[in-house]
Amino acid sequence: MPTNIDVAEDFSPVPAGRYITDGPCSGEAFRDKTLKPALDDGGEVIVEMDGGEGYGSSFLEETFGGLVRLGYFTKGDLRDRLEIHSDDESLIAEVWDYIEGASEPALN
Amino acid sequence: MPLPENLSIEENFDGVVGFVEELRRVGVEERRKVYCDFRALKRIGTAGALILVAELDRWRRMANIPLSVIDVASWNPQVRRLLDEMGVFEILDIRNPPKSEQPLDDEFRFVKFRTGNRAFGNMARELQVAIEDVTGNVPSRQTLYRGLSEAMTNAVQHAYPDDAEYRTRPLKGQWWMMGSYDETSKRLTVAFYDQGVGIPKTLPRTQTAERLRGLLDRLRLVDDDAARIRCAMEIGRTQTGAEHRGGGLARDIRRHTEMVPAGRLRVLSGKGEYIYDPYAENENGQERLFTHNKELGGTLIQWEATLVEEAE
Repeated sequence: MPTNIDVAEDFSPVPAGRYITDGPCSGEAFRDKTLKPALDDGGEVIVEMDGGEGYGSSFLEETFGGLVRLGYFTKGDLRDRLEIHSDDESLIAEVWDYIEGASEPALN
Repeated sequence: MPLPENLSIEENFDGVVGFVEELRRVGVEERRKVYCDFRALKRIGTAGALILVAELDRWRRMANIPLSVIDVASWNPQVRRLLDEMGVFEILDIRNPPKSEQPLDDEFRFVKFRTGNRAFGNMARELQVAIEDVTGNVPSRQTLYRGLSEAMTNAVQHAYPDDAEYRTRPLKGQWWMMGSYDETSKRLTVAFYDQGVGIPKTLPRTQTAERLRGLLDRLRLVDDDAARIRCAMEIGRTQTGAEHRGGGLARDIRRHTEMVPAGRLRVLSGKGEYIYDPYAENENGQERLFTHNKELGGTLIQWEATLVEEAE
């Protein structure tokens, strides 16, 4: 059974900001408190993006690009296990742009 | 200090910015008592009011002085009512606010000021709800939210660098926003302002000198404040990876402009002004740059759209 996350219901209907220092409903807060723990369980995760007010670029990049940039998950792993739901197809494409555009940390 | 007769940035840039500069120097920097004489004021624009109120707000907070109004009976009645409707007396916590008056049968309506120092999505939503109360609807609601939340994020993250030199001490991270609606033309204006160092000074912090030079060359621009705003817009338009950091604002405010009927975007920062008019068909093109004689003292973002009746 995939884990379902409804951003508006499970996190905030008014997401804004990149870092936790920017505001209480930032991308960093959503990633670290809600999305990453769900992905850490190893199964599929479906993120429902509709229902909230909208998403600034910084929120989206930090949430989804940050998963890769910080080395939490590989792009391949996210392609296999992460599903984005929205009526707005451009939003789904944008989320994947941030994931695919993120630099994976160099291996030592 | 007499206010100019016309507090419209569009029509009287030098007068508005000159007054605010003087208030900044005398009130905020020298911490002197100031009497701002509103009696001559006859005309108010959205952006001009926003910049004035932000400066008064900084002054009262830094000097820790309660503000009061005098000579209100001598003010232009329409100006007095508009200031009330904008929420000027509330946001500045005026000790003796004039008694609220019934709105005149006027074509202009204002959405009250809001201010904060973090990215508060609830405030962007409140502004949307207030706009809906005034206009009946908000065009492209989610993209307006994106633009506002990203403007707040930018103010908190980039506009006030810790190691920058400030002529006037800022309220770190602080932003102000408001809206207005012209019933006759159905024109909605939303304005957002911060008192940071400005895009021309923050851009070299997020982009290498080589990249900035390359961008200026590609756009065939001479390096000045207006050109740097244009470059910031280009970076926001073309980059989506981590290197777009700081470009999200440009990306999101441009997008809103493109998605609303007769959308128009105006960004003033430093001495530069950038206008993006995606629906323009004039020979000057969709993007125009201007250089002013005076520095604005921060960054002003102004969106405009024409509200159209929704089809049954």
